Amino acid sequence: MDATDLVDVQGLVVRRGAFRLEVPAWRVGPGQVVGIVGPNGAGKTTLLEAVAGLRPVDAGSVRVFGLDPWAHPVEVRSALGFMSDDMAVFDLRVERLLRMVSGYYPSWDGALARELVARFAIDTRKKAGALSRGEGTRLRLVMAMAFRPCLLVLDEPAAALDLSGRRRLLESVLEVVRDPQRSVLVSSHVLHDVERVADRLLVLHAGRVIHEGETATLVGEDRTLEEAIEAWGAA
Amino acid sequence: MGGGVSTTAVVPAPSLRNDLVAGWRHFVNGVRMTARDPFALGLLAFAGAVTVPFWGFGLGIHPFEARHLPWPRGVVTFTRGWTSTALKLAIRFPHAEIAFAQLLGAALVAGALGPSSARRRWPAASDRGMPALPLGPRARVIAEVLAVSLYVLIARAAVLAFGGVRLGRTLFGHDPRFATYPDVAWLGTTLLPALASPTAAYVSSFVVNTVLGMLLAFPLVLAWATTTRLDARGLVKLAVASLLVFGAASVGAMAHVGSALLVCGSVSAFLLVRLDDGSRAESVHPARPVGFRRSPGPLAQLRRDAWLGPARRLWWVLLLAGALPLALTLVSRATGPDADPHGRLVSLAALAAFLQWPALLLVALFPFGLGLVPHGTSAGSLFSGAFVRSWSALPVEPRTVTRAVYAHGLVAAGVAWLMLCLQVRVLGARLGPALYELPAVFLMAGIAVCEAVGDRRRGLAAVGALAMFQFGLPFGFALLPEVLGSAVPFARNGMPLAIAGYAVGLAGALPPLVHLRGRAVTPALQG
Repeated sequence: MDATDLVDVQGLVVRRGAFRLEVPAWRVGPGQVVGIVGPNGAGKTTLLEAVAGLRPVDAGSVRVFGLDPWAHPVEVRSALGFMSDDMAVFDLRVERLLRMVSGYYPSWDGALARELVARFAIDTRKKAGALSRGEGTRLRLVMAMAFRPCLLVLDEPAAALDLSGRRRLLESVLEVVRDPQRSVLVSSHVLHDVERVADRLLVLHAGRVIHEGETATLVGEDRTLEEAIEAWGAA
Repeated sequence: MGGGVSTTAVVPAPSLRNDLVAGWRHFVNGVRMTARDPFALGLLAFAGAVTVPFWGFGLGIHPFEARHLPWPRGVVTFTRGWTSTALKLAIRFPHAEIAFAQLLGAALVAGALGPSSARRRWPAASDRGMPALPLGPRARVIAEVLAVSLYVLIARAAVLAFGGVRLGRTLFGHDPRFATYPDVAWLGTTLLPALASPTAAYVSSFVVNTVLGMLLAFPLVLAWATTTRLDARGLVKLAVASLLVFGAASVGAMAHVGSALLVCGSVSAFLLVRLDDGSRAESVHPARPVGFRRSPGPLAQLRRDAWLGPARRLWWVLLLAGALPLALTLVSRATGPDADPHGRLVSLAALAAFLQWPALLLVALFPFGLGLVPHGTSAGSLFSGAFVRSWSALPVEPRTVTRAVYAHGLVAAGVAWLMLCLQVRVLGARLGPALYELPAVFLMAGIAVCEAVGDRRRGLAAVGALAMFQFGLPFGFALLPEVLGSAVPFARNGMPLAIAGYAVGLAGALPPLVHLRGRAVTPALQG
């Protein structure tokens, strides 16, 4: 592992029932936006959960900031922001929820949090449980980004967002990576958005890595990411 | 197009007949689905069996008074000014432990609706909507409640068929005439000419008790079944319905078929009109500037929230359920018999002390002052593990959260138990029944942990142990000798019951402790 790598995966095997994810080797350095793509059931969420320390691995190793995220959740998640569309949150009013969460991050940036709340147009008076799916997604994005994490892990962030929401999400992601020390991992079915922001790709299919590398190299100039994925048989 | 079978759905004209047919069809489906669900059948059989003796006494009026002070004259003769009437109403609250048992029995019945009706009803998140069946939500819930009630009646009938005569002797043996209800005596006389014989009187009494009991139980089951969220709105509706039903029972309204029908119909209509199908808009609070906390570090913050969170968020519960009943008890002790010759203040204090126990126990289910079932797309069912998952994105160890949940459960339930013992001592009652309740402390903590981590198997086992400990064993020890005959070697003193209760409590409370060790993969993550 390179000392500067934010994520280092070696010989990873994760089993979920009959499903098996295998990632022989994968690294993410600082200042990268990595798009993780593949059809439903390819293992995208499983991989991101393993990186975020939410799921143990059955073989191999995952290192985030040089630490095992499963064994060191406090240290890793103090600098890793994880967002998933169906992530459970406490059913509190949004402003109380954000206040509660802020106490767990020494690096919480109140001004940034307020800016993100305004940017994503979240009604802080509502309870988290009363938000629509899109509003809930935006809330989870704020929670993941407001403490300025070194590594931002987004699992299907655009699934419930409308066009303006996706645009604001992309703006926020690009702001994150203006800091050369920070990186973003994003899995999404909205391939157009992935193509716009991701400089590297990890393509999964049926639990296997079928392509990994720079987006421009993998996709080429004369086709879109969607066409490339169809050509690889990973649609 | 050629002839043959049409594949397009036909829109029927709106009519009451269509609604009734659809309701009947749903009722039959509910009966079939319940019959295929062993868990639901077990719950319903348990509820039907343990509440057998309660349906009669739960009507709030001793058979003697029901017979000699019929409604509404009973209310008139009770009136001596509004304060006296309100006090009498509270004290006449049908033996609080029986009312509580009936309410819990109704909860069990409604709980059995969940697996049978393909809708997680308690608690339910709004995004787990009902499948779109061609049936209105009100007709649907009535049909489902009636379907599970049928099995409760079957269980009750089985118990009465086997031991009804002996039970009748125990309940009404001092005078079989007290087993007869005045306004249905004519029915009994017509159907059972030999009404003078004790057996016929007991049979008619149990039949009438069943009818009246169903009229009392139906709104309670409906109240639980239509509570889609365990939030303030849902619980207030539940409390109002319960108070209306038991309040009516306390003045004898549920002891007579006519008035019982009126009360049952009114309360049920109230519940159905206010049915929350998830479409009601949440209340919007005034906007406040978003403020944040300065972090002392994640672990320090976690400890701080674990200790201070419950007090900060649940202070009103601690005040109402903790301090107020204790104050009532102390006042009643300080007030001499001269000032309270009829012991009404003592009775009121005893009632408050009795209700304090379950209210404070429930605080065990609010670690950090947060409900154990937070909202999320996949949350909304019991033992989902959503609580620990809600902490998953925060920089805290899940094991630390789990241990904090257990510690909170122990402390909250432990304080509730100590308060119960204190109340019992101050009120001058025997300490034995309070000591019997000790295993409930560990059971509640275990249930809280299983809910938090998503261990459905151990969680349901703990809930079952709690129900058996709280109702099944006392019922068995008190009543089975009567039902099965004195040949059954059940002792009547408290020690065998205590030993059995502690054994059951231990069996339910120990397994959840496995989640306090190490960093196990929570059941919610498996598969």
